Amino acid sequence: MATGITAYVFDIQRFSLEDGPGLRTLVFLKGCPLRCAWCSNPESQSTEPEFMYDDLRCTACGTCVRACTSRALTVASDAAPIIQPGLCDFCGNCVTACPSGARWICGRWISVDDVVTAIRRDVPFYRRSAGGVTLGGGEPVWQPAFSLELLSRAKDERIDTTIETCGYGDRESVVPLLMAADHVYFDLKHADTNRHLELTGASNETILANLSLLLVQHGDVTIRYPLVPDCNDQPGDIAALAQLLLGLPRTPRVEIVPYHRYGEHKYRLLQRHYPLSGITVPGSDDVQGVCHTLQHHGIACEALTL
Amino acid sequence: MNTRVERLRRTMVGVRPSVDITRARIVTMVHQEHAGEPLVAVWGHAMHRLFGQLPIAIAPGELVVGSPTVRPRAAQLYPEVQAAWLEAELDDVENREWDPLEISAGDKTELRDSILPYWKGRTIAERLYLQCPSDTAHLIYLDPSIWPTSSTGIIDNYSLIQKGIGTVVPNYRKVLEVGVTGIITQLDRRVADLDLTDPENVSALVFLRSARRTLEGLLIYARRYAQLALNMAEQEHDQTRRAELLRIHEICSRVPAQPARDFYEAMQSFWFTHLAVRIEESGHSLSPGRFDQYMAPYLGAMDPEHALELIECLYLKFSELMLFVNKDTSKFYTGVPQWQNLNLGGRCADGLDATNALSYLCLDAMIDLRVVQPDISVRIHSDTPEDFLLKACELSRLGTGHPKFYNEDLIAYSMACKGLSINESRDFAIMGCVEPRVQAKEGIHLTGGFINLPMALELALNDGIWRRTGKQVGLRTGDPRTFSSYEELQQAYEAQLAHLIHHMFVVNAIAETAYSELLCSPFLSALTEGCIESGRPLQQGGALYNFGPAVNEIGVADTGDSLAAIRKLIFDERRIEMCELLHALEHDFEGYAELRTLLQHQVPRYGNDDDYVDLITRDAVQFGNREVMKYRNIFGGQAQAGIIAVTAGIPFGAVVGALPSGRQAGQPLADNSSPASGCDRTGPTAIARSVAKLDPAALRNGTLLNLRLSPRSAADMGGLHKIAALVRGMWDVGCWHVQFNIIDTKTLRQAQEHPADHADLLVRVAGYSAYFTLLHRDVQEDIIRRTEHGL
Repeated sequence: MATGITAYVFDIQRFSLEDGPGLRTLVFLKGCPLRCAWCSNPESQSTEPEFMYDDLRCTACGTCVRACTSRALTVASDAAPIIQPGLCDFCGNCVTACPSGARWICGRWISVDDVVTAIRRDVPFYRRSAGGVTLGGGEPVWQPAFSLELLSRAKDERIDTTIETCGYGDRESVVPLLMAADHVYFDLKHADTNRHLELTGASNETILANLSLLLVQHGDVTIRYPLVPDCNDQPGDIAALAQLLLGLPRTPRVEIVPYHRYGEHKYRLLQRHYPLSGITVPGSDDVQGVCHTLQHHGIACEALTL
Repeated sequence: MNTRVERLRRTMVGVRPSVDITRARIVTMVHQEHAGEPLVAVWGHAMHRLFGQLPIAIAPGELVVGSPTVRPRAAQLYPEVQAAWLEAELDDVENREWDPLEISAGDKTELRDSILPYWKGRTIAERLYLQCPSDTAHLIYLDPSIWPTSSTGIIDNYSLIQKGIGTVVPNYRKVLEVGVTGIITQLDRRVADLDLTDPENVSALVFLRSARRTLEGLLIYARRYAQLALNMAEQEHDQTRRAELLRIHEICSRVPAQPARDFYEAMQSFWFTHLAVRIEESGHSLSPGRFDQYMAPYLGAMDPEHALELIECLYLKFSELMLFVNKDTSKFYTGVPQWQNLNLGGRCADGLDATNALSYLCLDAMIDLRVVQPDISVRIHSDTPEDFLLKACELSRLGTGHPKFYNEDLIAYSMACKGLSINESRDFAIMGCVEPRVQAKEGIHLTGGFINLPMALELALNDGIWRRTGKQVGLRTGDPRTFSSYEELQQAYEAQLAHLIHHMFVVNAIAETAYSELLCSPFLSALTEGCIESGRPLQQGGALYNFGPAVNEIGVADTGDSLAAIRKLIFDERRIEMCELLHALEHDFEGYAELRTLLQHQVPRYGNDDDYVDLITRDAVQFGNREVMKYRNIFGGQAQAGIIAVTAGIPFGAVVGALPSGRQAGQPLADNSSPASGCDRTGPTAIARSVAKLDPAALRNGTLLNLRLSPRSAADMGGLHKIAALVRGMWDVGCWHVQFNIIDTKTLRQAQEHPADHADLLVRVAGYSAYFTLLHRDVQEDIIRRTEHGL
């Protein structure tokens, strides 16, 4: 583990184009309080390290089994190696041993210094595009000390900052953290408290309270609403969303993020069941319809394209 | 585009490429008639005859006139350089795999019976074959005992030897400003000043007279067009077209003889000049250079619509031209490219921004027309107006490959390092792919070449033996199993590379000498500063500057990735043994699948901004660069290296065995300075960083980078701004050039079929990213549908 303030991160992606203004580096923090059924980054949810394993690349050569010093891996002939939970200490020997790169660990501890070093690689591109760094995930609010420190370091180097958040957490840590970012993308998943609980595993009461506080103080907050068929796309859902938005201290702008299936394969890599299999992607007419409904209520709204 | 341009475009695109032997017939006849006269004089007569006798035509609706052949897209023949291979390849021309051309049976017979026999023994290729020492011959010829030869793909300058001279930016400005008669006056004054009692001036006199004869020939050529336009006007019933033909008559009666007075005259004068050089010179990359700079003064208050129409007509003329190259060369340069590089924007010689109204119009014309030629190049610097850069990005988005973006200030800096003044350095012109030249002052590079870097590594790993043939073509650098450190391997690689470069320059010295004895270009010489003043044509070193030749390093990523794999797995981590690797390479990884996947997946790859492999790659390239710069051409100019592969990665890859990067035998080498296919996992900004680490400013011939972009990243205005920012950022980190390939449906389909080669295709949407090839098939189909719909 690195020294100083560290975070648990699963990816750092350069040249991100849709996570705030300009060209950005997106730091994906691992660990999220919600469990949305449609999550396209399922490896971001757990605060524990996780294996991703690609059975299409695996040649069942057995090298990983031989490399494992904890005897956590077993393999039947020609079949996928199986990890015994509890025995594995995530030492990573099997990952570096695997000749075909079929196995990797999601999640690593990384210090603020190292993240800043990674971010600096693209500074010329931020300067030219008014871009910067975006904290996403997972949930940046779930690791507030690190996130706050990183934002402050970025600010010291005049690097623009964005946070993507679900807004769930203690007011005392959430609001100051979000206030420290130049731009905030704040997710709303459903207006109805009970439906929210069903779909994400948590109530939206804390989230809405945090949002109200934030809107009073922060000038650049965008709501992102994932539009998921059968979950939150019905006329009643949208009407409730409009009412909720209009009832806030200030009505923020909204971006509709249409549900996509680009994350589905990650469930296979995590050897998990995909909860939404069979749901179709919303048509562009449906997405535009939702936009128009919200605009009709006087809410600034646009749809992201896929 | 308006209906006229639309019609002209349709006619041009529909014509199948063919061969026209008229030029070959005339040139051969003149050489026979004037046998015994100095070569420069013979070429003066030849050009004069060509201008007087080449058949001419004006196509319906044309506004800018003049074609080397009556049939559009017909390649003239240049027997003076092509004869060496033409006969052997004649039978196959219509049916060859790359770039077939139509030719009639009668023309083939005439070539065989009356034209080609004259040139026997008179071409550079034959001279080289006769004079090449045996060890060099084994490196360039697959079997030195067989004529005509075929290339090894280890070192090569076939493409240049067999195609002759181009790679130049003539002094168009001079013709526009003083007219051909002005240049004739200059020639006459120079002749009058010659002290003819000085024996050294005899050849000067012959050259100056010959140059004058070519210029007079061009005046005749223009007058023939003027007369043809008049004749056609008299028979034309349509009043509008009649008026146009009369205008063409007036213009061709005035230019290029006299200085141009308006934009239309300047366009026609420019085109006659370009065409005349094309008729004289056989090579590719004959480039207009800074077109928007020398043409802008004539634009005046011309209606932009009309100016646009003229520019579009001119672009179609560029596209009509065709080159005939031999089979080997056609693999290097598929798609009959010509690299008529038209530069836009940049800085003036005094350092101020040079972007002008014509720069924008020239971009508009290509956005409108979408044709292959000319090659549109935009020169971008910190002070380039944003709307100009955005318009260039808009053109990029169309997916035609236009424009190429150049780092103005970095290239000027590189030019200044050659010892040029700051003003000359800024006023460079890009010629061909990405090569900078001193505008109108620099001679042709007589030779050049390609060096196969992975082959140097193969030889280092095989004690100098070429795996494919078992022949000892390299140095004996020792058994790599005895190497105790990475540095020993690196030294072996460097020794092999130095050896290949040495032989490249043996070839170049012979070829350059042959050039100066066998070829002469009096017309082009008259349009290059220094030749009239010195009384010497280009082939005698008459130009003010004679840099070069240019040698390009091929297989950059494959070499870097392979060296990094050896260093990391054998010497740093000791995970594999050298002998195991050598066995695997020898067997092309048959039975070594595990080792191959280990090499592919557990070693950092060039192109991901990882210093470990990027600096190894830089050292491999810069060693070659320093070696090349030790050599000079026959006029004393310094050679220069670059990374311009065009499509040479395919034939060069075909001869290299399996590599430690995991690449299998015969597979194509990585494109130019790009990462190996499927190996960049970190995106365009990381690629830019890796390329910049190669130190492009030191590679004076230029570093070419093709970058793939998804169509959605340029979908809207915001997207265009991001592409523009990407370009500016790439300049900040130190890239030389970039050109965008917009990912199309075809690429995505290929990725479905060959996922390993496309493992780098990223799918980027908000808050998420993943690789295309990992997605479910039906999700992939969904993305393909969106791509087709232009998102």
